[in-house]
Amino acid sequence: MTRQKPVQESRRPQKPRKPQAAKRLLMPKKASPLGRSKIREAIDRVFAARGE
Amino acid sequence: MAAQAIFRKSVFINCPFDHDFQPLFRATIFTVHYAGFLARSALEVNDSSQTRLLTIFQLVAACRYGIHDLSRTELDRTSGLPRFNMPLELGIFLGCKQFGDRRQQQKRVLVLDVEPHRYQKFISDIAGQDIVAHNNDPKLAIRQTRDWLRVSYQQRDLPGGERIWQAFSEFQRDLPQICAELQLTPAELTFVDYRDIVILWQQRQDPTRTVERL
Repeated sequence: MTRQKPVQESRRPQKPRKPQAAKRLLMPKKASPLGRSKIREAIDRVFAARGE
Repeated sequence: MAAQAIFRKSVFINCPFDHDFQPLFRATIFTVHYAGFLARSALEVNDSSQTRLLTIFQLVAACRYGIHDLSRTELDRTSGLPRFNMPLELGIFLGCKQFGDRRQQQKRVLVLDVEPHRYQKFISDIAGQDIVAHNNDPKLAIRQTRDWLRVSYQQRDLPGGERIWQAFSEFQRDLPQICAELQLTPAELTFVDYRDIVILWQQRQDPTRTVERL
């Protein structure tokens, strides 16, 4: 008579899943609505007016 | 930028948003970026569909560093009541550090107040944290913020507070003209506008700086 293998657990218990919102980090708000290229141009003009 | 990198660079600035405090707020934002970090504030979130407290929770969780200014705890002139938002947000930040996961336990906190040891009269439980005074002086706030960031991040090549103050003074000289080019006044700038102007101005001064791709 063959020895019966002990009944194995079909799968390891799964970790409870974290809700998606809790895992996700709040990313910074995108660049200013003024637009970075517009801001860069304004800064360039101010530096240019000073001769830089 | 990846979320983990954002976390490592993000500095939550918990301070009053009133007009009187603006010079200190703007000096702190400038210093945070000068030191290579990213200033974050509840003002960057403009979503009326979620409560302010939820916004604060999310923002606190997204920031490794927190600068908490408790200098406006005096009684409000009209209501006669103290303002508790800043101490509450400091408490949320400390709670997140204490009970959060491994990432949250890396949090670092700087508490600013007007005078040294004044906090002991109204929030003595925080003794033992880094608590420094700025005397309502933007120059001192710059130095305190810079010194704390340098120690927290072990940035050896960060210029001193005097050099950052000088750069901030130059920036303040340029700001009205930059705003005029954008058909705005400095008072009209939102937090996100101001932060972008700081980032791009500092990069114009020193082209070796990298501009965060948000």
